Amino acid sequence: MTIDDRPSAGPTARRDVTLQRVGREAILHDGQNGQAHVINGTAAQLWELCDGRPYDELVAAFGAVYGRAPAAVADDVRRTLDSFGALGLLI
Amino acid sequence: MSSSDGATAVARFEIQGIELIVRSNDRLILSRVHDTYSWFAASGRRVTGHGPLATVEVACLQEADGDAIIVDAEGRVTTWAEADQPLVGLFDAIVAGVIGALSRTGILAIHAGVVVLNGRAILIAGRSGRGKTTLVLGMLRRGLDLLSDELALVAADDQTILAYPRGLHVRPAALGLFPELAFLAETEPYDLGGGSEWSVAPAALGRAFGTRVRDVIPLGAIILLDGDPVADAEPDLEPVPQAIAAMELLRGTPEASWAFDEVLARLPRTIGGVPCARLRSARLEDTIDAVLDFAAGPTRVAG
Repeated sequence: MTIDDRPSAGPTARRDVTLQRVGREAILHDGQNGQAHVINGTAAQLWELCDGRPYDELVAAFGAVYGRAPAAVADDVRRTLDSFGALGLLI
Repeated sequence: MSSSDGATAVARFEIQGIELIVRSNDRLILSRVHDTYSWFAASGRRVTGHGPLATVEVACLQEADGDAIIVDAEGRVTTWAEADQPLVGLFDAIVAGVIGALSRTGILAIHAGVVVLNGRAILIAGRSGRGKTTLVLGMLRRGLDLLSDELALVAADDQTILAYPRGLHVRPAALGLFPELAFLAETEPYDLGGGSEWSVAPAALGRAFGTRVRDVIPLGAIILLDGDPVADAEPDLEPVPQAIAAMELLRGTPEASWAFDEVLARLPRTIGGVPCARLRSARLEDTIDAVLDFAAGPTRVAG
């Protein structure tokens, strides 16, 4: 499922997936299947914003962290969320 | 190969506050356990000053029919039919019991060798057969101090590595690389598992290389052994992000199998700010040079 397919709630991190920052990167641990994924610090920042807020708000909030306009980060956000989705890490 | 006389004897050791008791009616078994854990018997040191924090008790009992039974720290009993194998099973039971007890006292055990350069610990992690012990021996020959060849014990403060100088289990091939260990060929080899045939105690390493055992050392670098060593090639050392190192160390941390999230939360405190690299071992001396250059870079190790 891609972001455009989401009908209502925005991207939401699964509660049983834990994020652990390690240096400039981070590890996402999927408590359901035991898999762990190394992500960079930017992706970790995005993960922490996946609290169900609408997609547009998410993009704006993420851009604000880095002082960028939403349009400037939208593609990166979409790609990263699609990766999270492909790994089954989002609700 | 039993040397049982029917009477059960006891060997006692202390490993970072954990009392290890090994019972056996086979004198040879106890002698070989002592070969591997002699430093812990001789030191008598305690981290608390008030007696052991926990006790681990295991047993290996030869039976009249030639079988042996091993009782692990949880009281589980296994039967070993082959005469030479009980020692391997006994060591497994000892290590599992000690790791579990250390965990309960807040000490995290990671399968890795650890040597000391300029007051900083170099942690060398890798699966069996990747050349960990060979690299450790080579670095001891260069004059580095020893913390461990088997387990990196992360103290409860998550900042320092504790001593675990179990005897080094070496394979016959090591004698070709280290003529200083030629004295081993004069003693009877025996199966220690993983192809190892001799246990070299810290005292013997002291005589061979001048090795000293250290304790409570801050972590200075992490080396992840990757792939089988290639004898006639240049070593390949590549810095990696700490998160990659954390993943590798998690694989080598038994406690992660029952407390993954807790271990995952601790590791960043331990390896934060520590340079990490992946290494394909090759020619021994070139490999050591690469590791020392990486670990002793002027921006990495102070003094």
